[in-house]
Amino acid sequence: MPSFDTATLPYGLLAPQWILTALIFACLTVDLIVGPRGHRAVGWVAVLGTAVAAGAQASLWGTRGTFAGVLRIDEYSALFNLIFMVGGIGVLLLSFDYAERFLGQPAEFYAFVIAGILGMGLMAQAQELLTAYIALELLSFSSYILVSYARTNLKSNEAGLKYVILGSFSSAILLYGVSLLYGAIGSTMFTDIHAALSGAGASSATVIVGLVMLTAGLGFKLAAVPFHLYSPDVYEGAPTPVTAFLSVASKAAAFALTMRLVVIGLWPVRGQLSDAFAVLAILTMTLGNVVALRQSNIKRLMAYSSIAQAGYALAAIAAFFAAGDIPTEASRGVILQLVGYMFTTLAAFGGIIAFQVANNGRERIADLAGLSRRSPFAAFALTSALFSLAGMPIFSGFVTKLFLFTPVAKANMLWMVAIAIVNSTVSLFYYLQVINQMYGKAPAGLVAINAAEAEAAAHAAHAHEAGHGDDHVGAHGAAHGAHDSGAHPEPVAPWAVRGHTDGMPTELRYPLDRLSIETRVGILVALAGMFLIGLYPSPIVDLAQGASVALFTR
Amino acid sequence: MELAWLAPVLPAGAFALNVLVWRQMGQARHLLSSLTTLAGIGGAFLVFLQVFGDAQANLEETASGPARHLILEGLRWFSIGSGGTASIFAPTLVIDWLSIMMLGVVTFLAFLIEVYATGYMKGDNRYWWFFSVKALFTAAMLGVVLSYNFLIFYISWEMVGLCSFLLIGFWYQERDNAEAAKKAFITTRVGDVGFFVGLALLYVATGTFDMKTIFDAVEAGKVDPTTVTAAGILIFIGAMGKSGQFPLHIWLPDAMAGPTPVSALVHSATMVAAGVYLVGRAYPLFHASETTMAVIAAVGTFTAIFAASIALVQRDIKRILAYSTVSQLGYMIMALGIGAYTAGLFHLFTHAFFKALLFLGAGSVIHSMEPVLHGTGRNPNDIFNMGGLRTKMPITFWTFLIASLSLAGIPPLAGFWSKDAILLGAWEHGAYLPLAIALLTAFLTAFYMFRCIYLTFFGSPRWASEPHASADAVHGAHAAHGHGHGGHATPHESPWAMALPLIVILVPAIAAGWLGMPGIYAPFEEAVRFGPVVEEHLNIWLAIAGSLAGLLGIGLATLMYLRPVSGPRLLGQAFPDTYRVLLNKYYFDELYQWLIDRVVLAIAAMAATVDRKVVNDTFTDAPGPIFSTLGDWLRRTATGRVQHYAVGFVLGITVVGAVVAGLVPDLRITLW
Repeated sequence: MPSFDTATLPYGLLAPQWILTALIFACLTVDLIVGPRGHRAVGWVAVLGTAVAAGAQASLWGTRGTFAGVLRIDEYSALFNLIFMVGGIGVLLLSFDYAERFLGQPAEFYAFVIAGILGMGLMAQAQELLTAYIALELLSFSSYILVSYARTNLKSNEAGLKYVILGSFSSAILLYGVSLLYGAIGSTMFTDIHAALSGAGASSATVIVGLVMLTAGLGFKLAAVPFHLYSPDVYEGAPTPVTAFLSVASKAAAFALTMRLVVIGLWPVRGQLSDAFAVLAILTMTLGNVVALRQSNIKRLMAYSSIAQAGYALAAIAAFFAAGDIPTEASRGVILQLVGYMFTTLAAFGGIIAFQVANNGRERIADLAGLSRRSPFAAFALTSALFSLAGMPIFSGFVTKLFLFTPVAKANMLWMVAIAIVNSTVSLFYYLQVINQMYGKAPAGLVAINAAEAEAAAHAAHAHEAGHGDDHVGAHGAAHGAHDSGAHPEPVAPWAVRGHTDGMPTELRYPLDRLSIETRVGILVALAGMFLIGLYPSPIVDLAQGASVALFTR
Repeated sequence: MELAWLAPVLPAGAFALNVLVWRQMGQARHLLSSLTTLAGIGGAFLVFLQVFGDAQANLEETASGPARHLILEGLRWFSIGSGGTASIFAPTLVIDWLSIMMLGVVTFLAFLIEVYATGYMKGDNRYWWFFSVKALFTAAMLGVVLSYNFLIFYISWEMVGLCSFLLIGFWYQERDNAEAAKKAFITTRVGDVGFFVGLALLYVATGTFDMKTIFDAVEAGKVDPTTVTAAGILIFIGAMGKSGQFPLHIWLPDAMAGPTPVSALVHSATMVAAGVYLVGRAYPLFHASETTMAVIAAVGTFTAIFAASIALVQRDIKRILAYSTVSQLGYMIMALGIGAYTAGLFHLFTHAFFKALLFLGAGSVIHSMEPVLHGTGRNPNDIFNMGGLRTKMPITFWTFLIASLSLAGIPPLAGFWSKDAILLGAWEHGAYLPLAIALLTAFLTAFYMFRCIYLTFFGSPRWASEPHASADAVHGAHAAHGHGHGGHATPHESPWAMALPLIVILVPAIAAGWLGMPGIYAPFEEAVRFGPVVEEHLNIWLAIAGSLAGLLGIGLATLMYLRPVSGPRLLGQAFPDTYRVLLNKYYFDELYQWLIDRVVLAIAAMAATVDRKVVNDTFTDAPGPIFSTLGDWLRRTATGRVQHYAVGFVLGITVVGAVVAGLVPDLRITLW
């Protein structure tokens, strides 16, 4: 443990983190002032405060230094902090409507999201195992609370409980690994571990067991197979913005810590670790994609999709063993993949949240039928995101996968690329199925309330059906009107229809109109980021390159 | 000059605004879209003026030196790899006189044709969509003109093709139009495949798509000569497709199915010019191989005379112009192929104006014939249904006449100077056969253009009276439908939105050629050239021969058509076989149809069988159930019970431990 003088620490380097810390308390204070009805004000404080922190973080770009020896501030940690903050802002914006509709006391919700962002940022900065552990626990505890935040929802409670139990289990194992390493090496500093492993220490059984446990603990946070088992249950049960938060940011934080640990601390044993990551990568992407094929719940599908996407990134970490520039390129690929994945996932969950807010929180994939006609904007966001996840050009997924797999191929792991390609093909199937629901199917199970409205609904359906061809609404006797000749340029009447699952009359058409400005801005920002990377990646590639170079500057 | 990138971006922005925002605006979307498109293209024209002014100040100085290309290092789009081996993809722009010339022609004509279209398309219920696609088309065409990177060039090139597909098939409700759109798209795609393969060859040879790097490598002899020839010919095939060169010419006349403003912009001045422009742009590549140059010259020469002969007997006014375009494009390609670089591009420049004018004039005629012939079932495009329009549509008549004289190469109009430049170029490069054919083509050109003029604007009005043959036999049924017969309306001059552009374009159609008067005033030669400036001198004998060919053609047409239509019928009866072959366009459509039916479809059927039986059954359908069964099976690992999850965790530790401890063999095997 390095010694330091508290009077001369470079506090300014952590300015964004101080801002976030203050923001947590600010949110709670503002909540006391405005009361429960004013939760939007709290949300805006959180959003703007995080934006200020992000601005501070951006202005620190290029500054390097260490804080008390345990935190490392460089472009790498700066870029990851920016990812978490921007992702956090996105999640916060998407939470407004959802929290109002489904969560009782939303003010603390925003505060815990900020706490999570802070924890993740520290994970990206840590260069000492215990600091890393504490940062990770800050994130974990915030996540536990957020996952079970829907107090009256049994699924949310169950998910929270599972997450706590398995999270503590993995923390225990991680800590055990840390203590073993400390016992063998006598230090928890990454650089000391590096020095010890360069010598004879690498072959000692204690070190190997410690490393394995450390890897397992990180694997839990990465949701790498087979440490992933908790994640589908947790993702499904958690309030949807929290699901977005977990898959967008939490996973990225785990990658930030893992890469720093491997590059700074465990570099001498990267050969063995690469093999382990290669195995995890294959298992993770394959299982994620294959199981996603058989899901009927959109959130659970996104959980498996998220597992699969993490598998692709793990493949690039497995290329770290290679010589020359390839590791830098590989880490650049991982960072890009994480940035692209953040925007993409935000767009996807933006679409899902918009749908859920308007539809009583339904989450079956079949419920999405005909979404393109009920809410074209939400359908467009979700569709773009799914295409991006499948790696289609013009969306960010294509570009980031190109940068992700190029170094893997250069490292003579073409077989890994081949497996990834097969996996991508498989993934296309379940992504397209969701898109097919939204664009190819008419809203299922909608019963028109009376004859006049049936007529109106049929007209609207007919106008929208032009060019789609597949008219399932006709099954409900509304078909008479649908065969009218002549195209109606605009739908003539709103659909007054009843969703039969919950028996509540639901105005289904154009829920977008009732989406708040916050949700819309959140989705638009996500889409803009996604298309920016897809069409003009250079600026973000340059940032990622800077971060990678910083990572490898020991 | 640094603003040049705005030229494609403004119309592209207009397109985006139209389809994203104005589209939602109900009926107002039509007006808003047309205004936005006009503003976008007008803005691009202003960019041209700015660039032109700048270029006159700056490029002149370097005109004598080797650095005639001002390359805007654009934004770095993206690069793959890192360090010295990275492949960089950058949308580099090129500003030289060639691109400035095209920038001017495209934006000037596009703007006026858009003005014309506001009148021509009035009342169409997809008016806004028409203008949106035209904006996108202009953006794509300007992308072709300005890009100095083959990849961006190719992307823009394909976007031009896509927009042309949308525009030709704009009235897709009629099957013929949809077929024509498909034909244009597929035929040009055939050429594009060649283009694409050529680009791939160049990329393999040089590792870049950057034109400058490629041309420098080719000129320095760093690229294998066989590759240069192969890539050159393949890329030229792309140009053949777009510029309607034999044997890929078949799509262009059918493309006249689109609205006339489309024909005027897309099929006279821009899209078809893109092929010629490509030959001009990639000239260092073609010039490096004698074989490529010979191929280009041969294709161009043959197309020139071949298409002109077909134009002799066509009845549809737009088709006459279409074959004329094919023929004139052949002229340009021929000039480029024999080495007369400046002459070929000069003809591209002048031709754009008078051909656009001719198309707009034809559109004006059709526009006024449509109400006259409505309900009679007679084709408003058929010149045999016209006649005597001279007094009814004076503006259209005079502009059409002058444009025709220009096309026929009568001094001192624009066409004379560029045709003369080509003849002179052929003479100086010793290409005597192309020279002879060019003269013959000039004669034919003058003939078919004046045949068209006499039948359209002179003689007795045939639109007033029904010819007996069609009156009783074919169209008797129309009375039952209650449609009025023709003759209720009379042709009249088109509205000002249409007539005004005719008058404005008339100016360059007359005067554009004065920029290239050899020995007198020839700034064009100094600006657009390949290699050092060559001082040209007017060869008075060639000029006389060229003009004489045109005058003879006009004279023959006068003898045959100025009086009531009888002479040509005799000629047709005297040579029935020749007439039929020409009328059927040498049976190329039939030949292709046969080839497609018998050869292409046979191969396609085989490929489909392989696809269904082998690819589908083995690689697509077979693994499907495997994966989904696997998914079902693995799904059961998610039991929902925490104990099981913890067990899974321990299993994971075992796996990682086994790998790290070296119990699993080294994974970094290289399979390839």
